[in-house]
Amino acid sequence: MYRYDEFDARIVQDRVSQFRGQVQRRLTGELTEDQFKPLRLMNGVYLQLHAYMLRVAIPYGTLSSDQMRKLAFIADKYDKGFGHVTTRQNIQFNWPALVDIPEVLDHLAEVEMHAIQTSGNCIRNVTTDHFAGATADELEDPRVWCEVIRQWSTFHPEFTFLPRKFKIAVTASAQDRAAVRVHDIGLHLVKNLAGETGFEVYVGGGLGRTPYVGEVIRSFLPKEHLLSYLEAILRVYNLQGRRDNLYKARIKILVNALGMDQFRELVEAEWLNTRETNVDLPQEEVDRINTYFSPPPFENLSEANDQSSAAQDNSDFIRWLKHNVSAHKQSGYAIVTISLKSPEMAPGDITSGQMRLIADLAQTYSFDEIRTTHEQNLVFPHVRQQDLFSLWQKLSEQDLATANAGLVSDIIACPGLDYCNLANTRSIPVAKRIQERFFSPEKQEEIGELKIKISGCINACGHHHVGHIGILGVDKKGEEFYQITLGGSAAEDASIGEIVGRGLSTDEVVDSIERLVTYYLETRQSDERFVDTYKRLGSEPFKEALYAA
Amino acid sequence: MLLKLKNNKLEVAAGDDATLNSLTLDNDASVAETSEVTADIVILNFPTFKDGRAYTQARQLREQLGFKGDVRATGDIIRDQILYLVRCGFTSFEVSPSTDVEGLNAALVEFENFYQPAADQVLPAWMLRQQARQKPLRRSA
Repeated sequence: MYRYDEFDARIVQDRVSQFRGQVQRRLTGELTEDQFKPLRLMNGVYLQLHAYMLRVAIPYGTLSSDQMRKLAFIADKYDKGFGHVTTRQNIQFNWPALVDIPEVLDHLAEVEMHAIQTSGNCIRNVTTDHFAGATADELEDPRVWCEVIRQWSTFHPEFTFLPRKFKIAVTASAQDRAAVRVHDIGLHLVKNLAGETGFEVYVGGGLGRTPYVGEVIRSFLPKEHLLSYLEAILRVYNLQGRRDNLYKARIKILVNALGMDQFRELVEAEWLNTRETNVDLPQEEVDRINTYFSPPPFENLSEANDQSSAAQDNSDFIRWLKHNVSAHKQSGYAIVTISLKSPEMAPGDITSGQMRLIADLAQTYSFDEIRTTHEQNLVFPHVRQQDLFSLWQKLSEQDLATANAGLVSDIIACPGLDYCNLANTRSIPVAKRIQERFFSPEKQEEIGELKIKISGCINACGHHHVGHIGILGVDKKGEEFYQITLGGSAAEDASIGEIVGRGLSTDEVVDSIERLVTYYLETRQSDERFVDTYKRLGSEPFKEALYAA
Repeated sequence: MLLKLKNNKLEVAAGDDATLNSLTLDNDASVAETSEVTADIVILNFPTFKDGRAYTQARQLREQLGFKGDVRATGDIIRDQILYLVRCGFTSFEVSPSTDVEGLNAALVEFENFYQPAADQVLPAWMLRQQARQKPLRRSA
């Protein structure tokens, strides 16, 4: 993984000092809350319902064991022993006092971490495929380009006061695990006819109150021009994006208002200028970054699962193998998804004890590397197949071996009204009740892949628009209602779910979802997924099932 | 109060530049479509410090039009944006008389290194890395 050199370290240290000064000026009253708000947001500090919240950046979701241990320390000392993995691969702490935050940043800086640009109207932490560097279906490791973007976007002087937040995601696989088409800019590494790799560039995707799937602005961008092209897009957006209405300020609204053809023309014209600057990195610098992402020293192993009867006779282990273990590019290795969707925990939550166990296990089993996923789980990218059973046993000790990756209980949920001061409704209790209803592992297995995503308000942090089943909490005269959307997807077949009808009361919502699932099981053909059956049959019969009571 | 940038330091300007030609560019005005600026001073406004359009306009003036005169910021200017303004090519600042000039100067030197090139002459980190590789630091015995 990327390691800081003197320049990276200096920039982060200078940032900590700067933020310490800003907090000081707020505490003395020199800065008003109105002036301080955008400054603290750009450092990931929110004022939530009960307290401040600090969102720590995990650039493109890659963590070392040391970094994980430091997060455990912060969870114990400044939170109540928990962290919360977010849908942008970051981690949030819910209870720090404002006056302590500079100290937290000092601790983070010791392990090359920070909270830079995890919020605010700037370029946010770049995200990617959580299987990067491990999956066989990628053209190259997309994290090299994520790091290039991380550096370029950090304290970019021109793009720190944009009309609204700006999110970039990168993938290098045909199978899109990074949801690139619902980002402001999505970058997909592809090969052109001449066999060169470059980027297929999507722009204008996003969720929130007006969801859009991004469209292609350029089908092939040579890699060496990535930054000048991004700078051209950002420049057009910075000048022309709406600033009169917070809800119409994202780039998707601008792209839609101008039309892709006109937007593209503006970008291409600006690109002629940005290409003339020094913004594009020379190959030498890309090579320098690339060396940090060389594969770990894999052993020469043949494909070999644990054949011991202890392993083979353990149905829980076999189920975990089936759902949480994915193919690795290196023979004899596997990718392990560690579910943070145990029925005992809120989706994405992790205790400090679990963090320490994960850190230790990553050192033993995964070349010291951990990933966070936008689905709020963790990943060990490089595990020897022969170690899977012992790893599973150790994960089980701390409730980290729930065999539900991609299944109905692997729910994305925002913090909702339990924590967030934007939320209209609670999200976590609905997720818990759905998990309870589909508690049986056999039932979950029978249902197969089904992505349920829950947002407690229209801001859509729980990505409900792209859930196979999306659940949006709305407040009607002080009562919580849940609006259901169906058929959404954040993957390569990205689509926005359709709203099927009236909102459901808290009492109705779980029964209704169970009826949807029952209808699906009755009508599916062979191994069709829920979303495939939905696409084949259309919304009508599902709508009937949903409101059948 | 007018502050001018000299050797990366802000100083309160003595005169009022009355004899110089100035051009005020609206935040909606397209610098890209302007062919030439003959004024000595181009004035760009910040209706609120959160409105960042003028950062782009300043860079376009400097980098695309090669404007060598004074680029002046007016409106809502706070200490925490001063470094970004200078990096984008602003060279003077119309601020309220109560402004803490020392604070602004402190903010100008809060960061030693930058990742990306802009309209100032500062070398981005990748160029410094390149130089460090070419000229390894001599260690004293």
